[in-house]
Amino acid sequence: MSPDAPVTKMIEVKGLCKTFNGVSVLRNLDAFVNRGEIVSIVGPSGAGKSTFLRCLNLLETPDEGQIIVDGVDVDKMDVRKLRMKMGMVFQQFNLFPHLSALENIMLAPTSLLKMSKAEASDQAYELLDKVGLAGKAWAFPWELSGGQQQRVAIARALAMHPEIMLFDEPTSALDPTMVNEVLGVIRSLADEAGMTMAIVTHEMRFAREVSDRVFYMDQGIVYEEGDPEQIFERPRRDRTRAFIRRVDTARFEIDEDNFDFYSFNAQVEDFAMKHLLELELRQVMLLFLEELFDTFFLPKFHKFSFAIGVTEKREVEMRFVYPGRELDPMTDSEGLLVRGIFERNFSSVHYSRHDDENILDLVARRDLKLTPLS
Amino acid sequence: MRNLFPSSAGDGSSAFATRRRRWFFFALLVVVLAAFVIQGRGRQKDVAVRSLSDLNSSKIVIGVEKDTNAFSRTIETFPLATMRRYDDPTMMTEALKNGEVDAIAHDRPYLEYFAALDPELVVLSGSVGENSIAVAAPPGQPELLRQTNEFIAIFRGERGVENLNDKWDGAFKPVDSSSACLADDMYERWFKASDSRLPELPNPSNPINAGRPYVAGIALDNPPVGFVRDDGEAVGFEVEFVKRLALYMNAEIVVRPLLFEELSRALNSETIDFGFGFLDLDSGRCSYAVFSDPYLNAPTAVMVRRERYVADDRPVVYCAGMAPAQITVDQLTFAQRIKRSFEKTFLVDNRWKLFWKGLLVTIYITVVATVLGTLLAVLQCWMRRSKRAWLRYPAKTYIAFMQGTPILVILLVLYYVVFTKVSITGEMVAAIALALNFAAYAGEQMRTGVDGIDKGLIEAAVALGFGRFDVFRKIIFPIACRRIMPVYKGEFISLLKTTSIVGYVAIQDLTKASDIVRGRTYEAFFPLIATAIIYLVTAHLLASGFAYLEYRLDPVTRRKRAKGEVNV
Repeated sequence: MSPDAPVTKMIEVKGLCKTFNGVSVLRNLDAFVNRGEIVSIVGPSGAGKSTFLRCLNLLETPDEGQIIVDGVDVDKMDVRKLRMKMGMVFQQFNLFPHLSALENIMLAPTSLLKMSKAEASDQAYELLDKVGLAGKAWAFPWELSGGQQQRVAIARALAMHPEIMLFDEPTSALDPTMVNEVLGVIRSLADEAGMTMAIVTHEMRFAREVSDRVFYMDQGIVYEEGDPEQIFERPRRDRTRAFIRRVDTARFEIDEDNFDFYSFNAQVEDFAMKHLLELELRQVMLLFLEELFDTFFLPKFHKFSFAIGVTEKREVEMRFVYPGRELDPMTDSEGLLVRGIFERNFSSVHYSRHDDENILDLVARRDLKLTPLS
Repeated sequence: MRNLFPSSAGDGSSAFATRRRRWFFFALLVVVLAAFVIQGRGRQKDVAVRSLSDLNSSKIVIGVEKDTNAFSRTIETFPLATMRRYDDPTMMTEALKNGEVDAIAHDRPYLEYFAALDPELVVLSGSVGENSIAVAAPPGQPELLRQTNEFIAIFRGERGVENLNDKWDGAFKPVDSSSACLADDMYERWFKASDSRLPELPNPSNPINAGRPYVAGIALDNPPVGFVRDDGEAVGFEVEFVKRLALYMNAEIVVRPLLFEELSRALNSETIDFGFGFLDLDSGRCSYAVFSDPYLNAPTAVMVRRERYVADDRPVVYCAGMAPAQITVDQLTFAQRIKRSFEKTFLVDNRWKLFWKGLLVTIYITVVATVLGTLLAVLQCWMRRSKRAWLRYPAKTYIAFMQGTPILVILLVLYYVVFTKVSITGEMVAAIALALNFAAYAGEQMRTGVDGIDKGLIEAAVALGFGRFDVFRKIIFPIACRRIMPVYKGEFISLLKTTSIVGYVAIQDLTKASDIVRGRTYEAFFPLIATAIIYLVTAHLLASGFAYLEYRLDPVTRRKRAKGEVNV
C-alpha cells in the first residue's frame, strides 16, 4: 500500500449469511478490505472461506447481508460490470481447453472490452511475459503443468484490468514442487502498488509474508483479524491459537478387529511426507509407533483413536485417546514397558482424563534417533 | 484437463492417410470376389424334364413366390419335389438361370414374358391351377365398379360392342386386327412378344370428370404388367388397360405409381380409385377392397431351362450331368461375366442415369434431413436440459417415442396419415421423418457433450464477466462441438444408409433405382453389389467431409495455421 493514498474501503461486507441445503456456511459475517490492501484468509476447511470469496463477485448469491464494492451496493450494480472489476483465480485453474494460453488471455478483452485482436494479442504477450511464460503462447492447457496453467489463469484474470483480484486456494491443487512458482507470481503482483487482493490460502508462511492483514475464518465468520504478526505470533482467541499451533492433523480410529497396520503406516507416512518431515524422522516415528501399538495400545484397548499433527513451528504432535479406567502410562505400572519410549522420543508428555476417556498428548523431539527397545 | 481432448495430441492429418484408403479398397475387392465365388458355385446334377409330371421327383428343386396361390398349388401338385421360396419372380428367374433351382412355378403370363426375353427358358404346357386377375377398388364407389365390369366384358370379347361404335375406335381397337378380342391382343403383345410399346390412344374428349381425375394406383415394380420404361414412361399391360378404360368411361384417370405393398394401404385410405397389381381375385390379399370381374386368366405354369427340357416326342433319358447335345451354352469367363453384367446394369438404355438420379435423391434426402434434424436436435437438447418441467417433459416424451418406434413405421405414418392431404413431395416427407428420428439421437448426443463440460470452465467465464449467451457461444459450443463430432458423424452416416427405406413410399432413391434395374435385367446380383459399393463410396466421401471438419476444429490445427506450418 502506498502510504500517501487515502485509506478508503474497497470492499465492505455487512451481515453476510449463506446456507447450503440447510447447512449454515456464513453466519452474519462482517468484514472490509481497504483499497490497495492485500488480505489473506486462512482457517480450517469448512469455515466458509471460499464461499465468502465467491459471494463477493456473486458466483454465490448471498441469502442475507450487504456487499459494498467501491462505495456501491452490489445489488444496485450490473453484475457483469461487477465481475469485470474483479479478477478471480480458481483452485482448479479452469483454463478453456479449446484455446491456447494466448487465446485464453485474449478471449475476454476482445469479447467484453471490444479490444482489437492486435491490441489484445500484444497485451496477452506482455502478461505471459509477466508470469514467465512468454514461450508458451501457443501451448494448450493440456500441454502445461499445473503451475503453468495457474499462471496463465492469473494472466487471464489480469487481462481485464481488474481493480480487485480474488484468489481461491490458488495452490491447493498443485504438486508441492509447483507451489512456489505460483506464489512467486502472486507475490510480485502484491508488490505492485494499487491492486486490492483477497487470497484464500493454506500456505501460512506465504500469507504471513505477503499480507497487509490476515482474516482467520471459523464457524462462518471472520473469527479474528489482524496484521500477520498478531495472527501468527500472538493470536488472541482460543480457536485461532489452536489452528495456528496445529495447522494440520490426521486422525485415525483404530479398531483391533480390523486394524491394517500397513495401511495405517502408509497413511502416516503420506502425512509426514506432505509436511516435508525428514526421512530419518519419518522412519523413527513409524518404528516407535509400531512398538507402542504392539506392546501397549492394541493388547490393552480394543478401540482407541490416534491423531498426528504438525505445528506452525514444525513440531510433530500426537494424541492418543483411549477408553477404560484412569491409566497414565507414565505413572501406572502397566505403562512400564512403554515409558522408556516416551522418555526417549518426546519432549513433552501430558496425560489428562476427560469424560471417561484417557487423553495422552505427546510432542516429539526434533532430534529423534533410531533407538528401538531391547 | 488433459483428457478433454485425448486424440488431439496426434497428428490431425492422419484422417487423410492414404494407408487407410488402401485398406478400404482392398477390403472391397475381397468382398466382391467372395460374392462372385459364392454366386457362381457349382451346378447341381441334372435331370431331364419332359412334362409337368416329371417334376414330381425328390431330385427336383422348384422355385415359388412366397404367399401366392401358385405356391400352395405347386406344393400340392409336386409333393416329392423340394420347394424354395423367393420374394419376387425376378429373383426366382435369376435362380433358375444360374441353376439354383430346376424349375419355377408362377403365373403363366409372367413366365411367357420371361421366356420371350430369354431363349434359354421354356414354359411347360399344362397348368397347376387357375388364377383370375381383377381390378380392386375401394368399396364406396359401386358405379365405377359397374362400368369397369362392363368394360371387362367387352375387353374379354364376351359381349358385343355394336352399340358402342363411337367408343370402339378409341377404346377397343386391337393393334393386331386378327385378334379375337382386345384381351388376346394385349396378352400377345405385352407377354408373349415382350413388346414394351404403348399403342397410341386418343385422350378422352370432354371427360365427365374434367379437373377431378380418378386415380389408378398401379404397382410399377412389376414388368411387364406395370413398370417404368428406361425413358421414364410408365407402361405395361395394366397401364394400357387403364388408358382404354378411361376412354370407355370417357373419364380422366391418372396413373399413380405405387409399390405392390402399398396397394392395400392406398385402397384403405381411399387415396386411389382403382388398384392394379395383377391381383388374384380370390387371393384375399386385400381385405379393404371390392373386386371387379376377372379380366385375365393367369393359370399357374412351370418354366425350366431349355437345356433341361426334352420335347415330348423324344425318348426320355434320365442322365445325370449330361446336357442335351443340340444346345450349346455360352461358357463365359469371370471377366466376361462381370463385363456383361456391368453393361446390362449400367450401359444398356443408359441405366446409369437411373442410378445417378437415385443417388441424387438419396443425397438430397440425407442433406435436408441432416440440416432439419440438427436444428430440431438443438431445440430438443435445449428443452431437455431446461430447468422448466413443461419444456423438459415434452422433450423426454419425444425422445422416448422416437427411440422406441421404428423409423419405417414413422415414415409410413407421416406419408399415409399425417401428410395425406397436404401437397408436399414424397422426398420432403421422407426427409422430415428421418429428421425427426435423427433429432432424437443427435439431441441426446449433444446433451451428453454439453453436460460433460466441467462446471469450473463455465464459472471461470462467468467470473470474467461473460453473460449466459456468450458463455454458450464462446465456451460451451466450441468444446461440445468438437466432442460430439465423432458420434455426430456416425449418426450422419447411419442416416444416409437409412434413406434406403424411402422406397416404401414410392420415392426413387438409389436402392429403388437398383430394384428397377434388377427388375429389368433379371439379374439380382450385380445391381445389388453395385448399389452397395455406391453407398459405401458415398458414405466414405461424405464422412471424409466430416473428418476434415474434425481436423479443422482441432485446436492444434489452429496453432499450426497460426504458426504457418500448414496452409489448410
